[in-house]
Amino acid sequence: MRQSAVKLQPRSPSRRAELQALDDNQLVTSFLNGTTNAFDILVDRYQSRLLNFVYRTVGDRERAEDLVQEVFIRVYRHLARFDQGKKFSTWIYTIASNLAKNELRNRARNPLVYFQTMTSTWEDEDRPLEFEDSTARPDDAFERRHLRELVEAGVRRLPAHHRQVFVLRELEGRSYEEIAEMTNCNLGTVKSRLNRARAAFAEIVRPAM
Amino acid sequence: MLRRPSLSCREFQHHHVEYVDGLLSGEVRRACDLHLAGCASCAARDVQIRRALLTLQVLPEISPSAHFRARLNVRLAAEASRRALTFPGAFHDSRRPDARWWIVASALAASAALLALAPGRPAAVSPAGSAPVVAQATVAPSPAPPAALKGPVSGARAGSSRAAPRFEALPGTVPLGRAPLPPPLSGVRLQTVTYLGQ
Repeated sequence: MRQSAVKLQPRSPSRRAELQALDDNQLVTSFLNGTTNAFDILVDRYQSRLLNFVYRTVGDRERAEDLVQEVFIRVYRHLARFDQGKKFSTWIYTIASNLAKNELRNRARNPLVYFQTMTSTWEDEDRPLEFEDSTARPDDAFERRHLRELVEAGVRRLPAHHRQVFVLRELEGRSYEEIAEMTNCNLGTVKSRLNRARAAFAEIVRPAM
Repeated sequence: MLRRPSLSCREFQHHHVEYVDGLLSGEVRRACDLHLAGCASCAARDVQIRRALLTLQVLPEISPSAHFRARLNVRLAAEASRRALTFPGAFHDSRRPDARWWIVASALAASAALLALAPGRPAAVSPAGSAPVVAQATVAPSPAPPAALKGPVSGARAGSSRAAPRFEALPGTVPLGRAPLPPPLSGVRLQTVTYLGQ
């Protein structure tokens, strides 16, 4: 059943604030009823969250932005068919999750192309940690950066299907049930993957602790 | 008072995910506590995992780049115009019967503006600094998508001589024929065209 939506003129700041007060499903209804800026609010709400999720999953900043753009295009394209009895956040994360999974699958098929793409664009900050830095200083900032690199590398080193569940749970804070729906797995599989991912991650970062 | 036997290590591992997340019911949680108190190996593993999860807090949140929204708005405007041409009746605007050229022109202009603004890949900025710069100039909220669209789309799928536009099926969606199409985005006016089935 559709919730009643508020149809608002989009240019007024106060009315934009009113739009921002709506929940996701009400925004969807408003957009479908012609309040075009409702979609902008949805983008505002999800762009950073999705970018972080996809980035942590695929490990490539630029590609993550492209994929998040694609998520919003698909949401726009299919929004009228969204089942409003469900949570919008679960739906949009499902789309993002599927795109990230496809990206990883494509990379597995074409690893050389992916490596060339990565190395042609990465900066020092993006490089995975490969060896111990001999210029280490007893400096908090440095140690923090070292730990951050180790943690990022640890997340990247998890197997793709474990990493996806791990990121959704540990970094996005999604519930097991939501993750099961987003990844199209049953609840037991989600818990099992999360258990293994946590153990593997703990093993990877143990030297830093 | 009788005490329930402690869990085996295997059983404890089975519950460990929910135990760490604090999602176990009282009885099972107490059994896990009991096991942990008597099993050094599982206790060490539990501490190791909890400490590892704490390290995730050092990961910085990244923000979309400066031109993320501008690029997205261009793509959405193009999508809106594509849909207008594919589903002409979906975005009905009787005030602008000759607007098809305008849709294409606006998409091209937006693309050109974006290229002029963004010669290279930008660095990360906060979301507050990524306000849309295109496709926001004019806003024409369109009326609700017409119910008449539902019939022809279903009919096309059922065997009309005109091929129905194909979209990928997404999880959590309802079939196309049951729901209206979305309106166009800000800055996009769309024309009135007789629908295929009419």
